[in-house]
Amino acid sequence: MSEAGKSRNNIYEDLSNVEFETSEDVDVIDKFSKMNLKEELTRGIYAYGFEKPSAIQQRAIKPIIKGRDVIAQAQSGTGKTATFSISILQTLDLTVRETQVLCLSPTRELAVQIQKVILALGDFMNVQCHACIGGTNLGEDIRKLDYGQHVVSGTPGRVYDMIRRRALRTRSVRMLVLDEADEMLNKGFKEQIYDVYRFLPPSTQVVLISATLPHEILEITSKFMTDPIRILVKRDELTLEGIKQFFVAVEREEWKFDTLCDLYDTLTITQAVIFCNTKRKVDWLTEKMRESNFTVSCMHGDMPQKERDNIMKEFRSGQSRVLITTDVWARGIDVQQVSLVINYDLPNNRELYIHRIGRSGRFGRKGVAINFVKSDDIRILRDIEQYYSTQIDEMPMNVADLI
Amino acid sequence: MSTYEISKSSLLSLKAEILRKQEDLAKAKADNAEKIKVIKKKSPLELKNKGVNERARRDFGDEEQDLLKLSRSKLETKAKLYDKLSNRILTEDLKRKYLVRFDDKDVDNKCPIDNEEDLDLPPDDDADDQFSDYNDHVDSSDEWVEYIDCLGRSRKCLRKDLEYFKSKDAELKLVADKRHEVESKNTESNKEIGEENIETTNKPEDIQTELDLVSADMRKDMLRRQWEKEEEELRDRSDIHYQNVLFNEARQHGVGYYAFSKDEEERLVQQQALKNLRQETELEQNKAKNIRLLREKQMAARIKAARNRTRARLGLPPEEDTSSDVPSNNKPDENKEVSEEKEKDTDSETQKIAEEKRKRHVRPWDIGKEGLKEHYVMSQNEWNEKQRQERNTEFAPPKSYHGRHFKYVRNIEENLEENKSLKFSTKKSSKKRTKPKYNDYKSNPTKSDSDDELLKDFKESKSFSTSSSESRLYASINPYKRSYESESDCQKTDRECEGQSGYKKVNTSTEQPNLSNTVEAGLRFLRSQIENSSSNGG
Repeated sequence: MSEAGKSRNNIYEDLSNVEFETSEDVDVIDKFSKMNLKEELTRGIYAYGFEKPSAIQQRAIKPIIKGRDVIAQAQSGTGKTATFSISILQTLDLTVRETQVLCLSPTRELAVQIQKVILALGDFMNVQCHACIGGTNLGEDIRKLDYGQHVVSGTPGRVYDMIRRRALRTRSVRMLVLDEADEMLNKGFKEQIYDVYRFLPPSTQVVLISATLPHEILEITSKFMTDPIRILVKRDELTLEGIKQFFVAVEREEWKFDTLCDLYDTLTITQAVIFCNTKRKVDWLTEKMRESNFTVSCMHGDMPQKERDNIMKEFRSGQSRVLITTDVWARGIDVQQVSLVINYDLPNNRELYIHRIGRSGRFGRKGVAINFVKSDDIRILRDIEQYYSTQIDEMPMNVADLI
Repeated sequence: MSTYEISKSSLLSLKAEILRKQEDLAKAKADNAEKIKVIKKKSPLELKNKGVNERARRDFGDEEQDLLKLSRSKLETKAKLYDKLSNRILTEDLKRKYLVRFDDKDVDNKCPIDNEEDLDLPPDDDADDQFSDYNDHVDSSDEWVEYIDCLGRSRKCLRKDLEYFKSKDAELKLVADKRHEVESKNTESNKEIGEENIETTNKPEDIQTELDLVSADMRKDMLRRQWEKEEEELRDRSDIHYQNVLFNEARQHGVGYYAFSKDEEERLVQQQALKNLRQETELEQNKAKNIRLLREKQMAARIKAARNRTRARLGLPPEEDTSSDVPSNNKPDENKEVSEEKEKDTDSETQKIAEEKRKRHVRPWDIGKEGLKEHYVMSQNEWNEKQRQERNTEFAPPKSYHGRHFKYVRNIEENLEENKSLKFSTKKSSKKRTKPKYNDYKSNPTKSDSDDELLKDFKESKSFSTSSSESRLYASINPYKRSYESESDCQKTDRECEGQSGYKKVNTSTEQPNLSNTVEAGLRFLRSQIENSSSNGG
């Protein structure tokens, strides 16, 4: 019966053949000063270091401010977070100290980062933004929400918990932002997003943002969005020129470690992130690097939140330079000085590849990505290369010059 | 033509002259050989594109020179600090702070190597002396011992010096312990931070360089404690700002960046001050603008007066106001504006309609929420779906019916898709084998409702059957029959076909009239067509 029902739905609104394209009526505004933003906000934008809006900022800010539902896609490190942060700040009524915008992201570190960006851009406006994330003290969270926050940036689990406890009141919420939307609407998170969504007033403005938006994600957006403005990027334009991609072919898994040791001097030129596919491997690699007297730090989801926080702060302040981590770090995290990403293991899907290499080359800076591939992985890498019509060459000797 | 007479002597002298010249040339060649060669080789190498040097200078310029300058100045401050520390007599506090024993270093400096013998220091105490000792004993490896000091480093020394180093080590340990103790005490009372603050206010640069001098681990530790403290402070604050959550992040900000104070009151004062400055600036700007305008106006008036004077001298009446020109200039603009406005009007009208539509739209995830708009116009399909969901299951068509029916429809669609593209690779494999013929002349790739689809199929196949290929007609339907033999409508077609082509059908089962009604109509139409055509032909 359910199968029959499904097939019936498919007949009525089968979107699998529809090609989603950027909406036609998207205006381009090439200056922040032309956007009619609040004076304090404009000041915050310039203070944060933006001078000219990036492509996505030129297109997406206006429709979000106008109250339209927006699906925005742009290359990694081109100012997506700032795009919705600016729009949020513009639409806020600061005289009302209630939660007006809810912003959900897949990892705690990302939620904290978004809080930081909103506070930075809204520094002259004295905006209040709270990071509502798991692994922290519940009572403290409740108290902070009780003070009244204009914006809440959080992870779905804790946010839902806070809503159910009525610590987070949703009646004034006017906008829901899903950062890394494709991850948020993936199997693991979709249910939780639905749970949160059910508590929001009907027809709340919804904004979806991500560097990767696979077709199946765009298909389900009709469930909770109304005639959205789409700003999309074709997948052959998704990789950035500024990030050079290389591979090192190794015959055996053990050789990866030796290669990494050889590269260590290059890693520490600025800052580097090394991705493994499992937490256990992260622990193992960290241990092995330390045994060989290399200074590295590591982070993954099984660590206590306190420790994760400290590692993040150390890395952000430049105290540690090499970070070994899992895909918890793959999406959205922005550290300006990172110029090298190493895929010790190849990522499990094409989207993650884009996100991982996007940790380097932030906002117009140069970056280098190096993939360690065993002979049977080369096929996967070639597939990725072809899928995004990009170039992944064998690593040259002078790779340090490119950083 | 006259011929010259050439004397022998002149010929000889000429020859001698030539020889001399040749000799000179040979000599000069020998001398310059190298020179010439070098020059020849150099020239292509030295050839450079225009502006290369300039560009190189430019590239090297600014940034790198700045960096070099920066690092030089850093090193200089470091050296200064080091000198200061090594010259100063250290108090107990400071001694605790640094693991380097500057006072000992001082002694080393004060006794240059040449007069070390004059000093009556114990020989063990002098580092150089020890080294000379070590050089003597290089071979006798049994004299060497390894030991681990209080910081966990493994070190090597001669056996006879072990005692001395041990005592030094003990001293060091004492200092380190004391220091550790004090630090742990300080974290409780925050006394240390207070001290540091005092120092920072005195010489902020010094503290920074001191931070640079301590080991990485220690620095991390200090920072972690500092962050902990900052977070502790934030815990009970209702207002937090960017500076509160920055935590020493190394981020480049824009030119307009202003690091407000972490203290709420001071922050407000700073913001107020900024605001005042801004207002002042604006005021000044306005004033300047007004003055400029005034000046321009005066200038214009003066020019006009001057012109009128000249006109008066020539006996002409004074110039008229030029204001009449202005409206004529504006007219086309206005027209344009009007047309633009019209466009805007139509634009905004369509926008309004779209807006209205959006307002009426209800998202599936919103259904059932409180405060939802009541008037919602459903599409026919949505209405059907809703009614179906509300329907008592007892009144629903049997499940088996549903399943089969839609499998049938899906089957048709899949076939369509197979023809269309390679996109749906997963669906292909098994079915292609069972019905290749169907694919052969299946031509219509549009999707439609099930019954229409069927009729269309029949109509299409009809054209084949009229060209006396009923067996192919059967073949076209056959795949359905094979895969879903129990399906009544298929059987019906089969039976119809049997009548035409004489094909023997094996399977017969009960009919389901519901669905077949429409199919029957279609078939009746089909049959009459075929009959007509055959009778016409005969």
